[in-house]
Amino acid sequence: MKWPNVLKVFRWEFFKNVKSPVFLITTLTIPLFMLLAGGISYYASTGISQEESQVAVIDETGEFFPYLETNLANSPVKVSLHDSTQREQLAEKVEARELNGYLIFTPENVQSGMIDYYVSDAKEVNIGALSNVVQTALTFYRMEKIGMTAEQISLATAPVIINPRSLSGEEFSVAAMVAPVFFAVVLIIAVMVSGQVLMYGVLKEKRNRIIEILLSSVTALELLVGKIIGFGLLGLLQIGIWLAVGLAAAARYFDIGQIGMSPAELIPILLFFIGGYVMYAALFAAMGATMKDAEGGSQTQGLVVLIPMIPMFASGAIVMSPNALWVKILSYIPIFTPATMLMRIGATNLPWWELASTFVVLMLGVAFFIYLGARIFSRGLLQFERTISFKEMGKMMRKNY
Amino acid sequence: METILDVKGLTKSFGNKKAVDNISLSVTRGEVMGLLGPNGAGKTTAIRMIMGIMAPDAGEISFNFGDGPQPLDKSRIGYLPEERGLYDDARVIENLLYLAGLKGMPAAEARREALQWLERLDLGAYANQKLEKLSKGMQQKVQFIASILHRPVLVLFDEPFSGLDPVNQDVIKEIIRELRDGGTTVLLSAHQMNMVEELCDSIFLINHGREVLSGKLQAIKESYKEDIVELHYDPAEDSSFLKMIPGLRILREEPGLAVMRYSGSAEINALLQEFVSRLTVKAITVEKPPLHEIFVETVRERGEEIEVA
Repeated sequence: MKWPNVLKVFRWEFFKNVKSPVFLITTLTIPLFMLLAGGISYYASTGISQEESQVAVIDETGEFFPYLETNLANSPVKVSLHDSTQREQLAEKVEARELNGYLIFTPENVQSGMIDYYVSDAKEVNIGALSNVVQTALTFYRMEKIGMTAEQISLATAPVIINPRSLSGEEFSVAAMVAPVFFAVVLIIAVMVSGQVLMYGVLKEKRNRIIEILLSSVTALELLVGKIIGFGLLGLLQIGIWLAVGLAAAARYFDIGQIGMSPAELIPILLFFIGGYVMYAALFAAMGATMKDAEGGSQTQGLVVLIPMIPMFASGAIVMSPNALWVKILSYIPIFTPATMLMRIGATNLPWWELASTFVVLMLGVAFFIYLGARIFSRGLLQFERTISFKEMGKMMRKNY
Repeated sequence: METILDVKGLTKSFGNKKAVDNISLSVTRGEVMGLLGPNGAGKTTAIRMIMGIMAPDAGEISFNFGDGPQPLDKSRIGYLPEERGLYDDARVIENLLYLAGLKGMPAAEARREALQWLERLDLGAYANQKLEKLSKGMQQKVQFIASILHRPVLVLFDEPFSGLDPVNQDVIKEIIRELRDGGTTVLLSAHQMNMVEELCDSIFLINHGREVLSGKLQAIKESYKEDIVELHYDPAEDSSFLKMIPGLRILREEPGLAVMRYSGSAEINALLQEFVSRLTVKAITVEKPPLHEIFVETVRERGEEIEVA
């Protein structure tokens, strides 16, 4: 393999594709989707509880309302006190949606705790915020009723926070768990996007016959490696843009300092990321070489694109139990190694030997797929008129062409 | 004479079919050799193996660019494949610079020469156009430029004339002659033999992957036993005696004109003298039959069939 040739192929592929509509569109639209999705889920989780609600209260005990009012000080729930004779007017206002609903407190139900909340349609009511404040107010009310002093009450109601701590003394943060899944997702998206562009690029070169001219100057391996590096850098550039946008967007919603990872964590993540990228790129380029056109017979090849995604379907289970036997086994199957390991690295502290051995497995996978890719690539490229079946690919790998 | 390309026992099968069957040929420096045969005869497969795009099942290919036998050096060979194509979403000049770059030509020099070639082939105005804007014929010319831009020592043209109109065919022929005059060795394939006959110094005829005939074109023709004789004479005279001459077959006859094929044992000169003694000859030409006929005849004599794929 001559590196100057690889370099020339790489330069051409990089600069040609960085200007291509597909690259520009995916680079720009995916962050937009990320912003949209992030924004929607942020407002979905915070917006509902922030929504103000107007609740009328009929207090037949004559003494509970002040407790409620005190506890509502910082809540989005607003209450107003009404006489029991006004019940019909309140019902009308609820129907007219001027009020979200009304509550009735009687001497009996403040003891039993079974409070009725009258609303227009019980199905569409979110009582989370309301039941929290009523619960607290009732607790204070009952405690005073049985004669506890303010001091005793504050002692009894002191909040409880359970703080999980690893035996290693490491701090736990949700962000640190989200990050690896995020990196795995980014890997998959980047691979899908630039892998597809690579695959269809090869297919196009094959379809418009340029490929034979290229092979009269460079070897199939040089062409393949040049393309992989070219698309690899394109992918990294794209990911860089996405990360910058993603982090800037994330910074609006939460403290991104929590994601901050030590170099010791970052290096394996990068290594698995790049290794995975190269392996999948080789696979996709080979697939492109076996296709005749983008339709019809190529459907089966198109499915190969989905293989790297498989660990993602189990991402929840992998992050929850990163040391389960099946997860370990998955880590040693090269095609699944990158996504699985990216998730495990963040989810737990892996012993160095496991990192090292899975990385060796990945490197073997990379070497195997480049070798296999180059063989299928060089043989499939000149088969202009048809799609090559998986059976024939098997033959190609054994036979010297 | 120095051999630039030497092929020995080249063989390649696809499944049960032998596409190229034990072919040996050698190309002399500075000549134009025609690899000729019908479609499907194995020309493209042979050229692809010489170019190192396909690996042969058996056989040896060696090059000698003047400094001893050496393995394939793709940067010194130009190649125009039968299957044409370039990046149609890139500009004409970008296509040319990339391909010349892959052959190791410095960019500035490649740009200068590419523009000169484009001018020469009436494509100067299209240098900065995307290739897809050009007609098929223009794209073929661009591809032709791509195959010779880096000044190769040896060029392989696979069916260089297919798809070109007669005017452009002549332009390409002229350039091929210039290349030869400039010392470039050319190996070209074609299925329309008559078209390249005048261009070739030597030929290699191939059918079903096997050699039919090879050697210097002149020598092959001269050693071929038949002649085509075209005789113009006074229409008033009686030429019926022509039918009686052994070995002479009349192909076409009009008053005052007879086109005949002669394969008799007597010298051609004796035949001509007989014409002159019995007719008022106005004009007479004696030619060897066209290469295509020699090919068909040789194949038939061997009891083989000509396959047209």
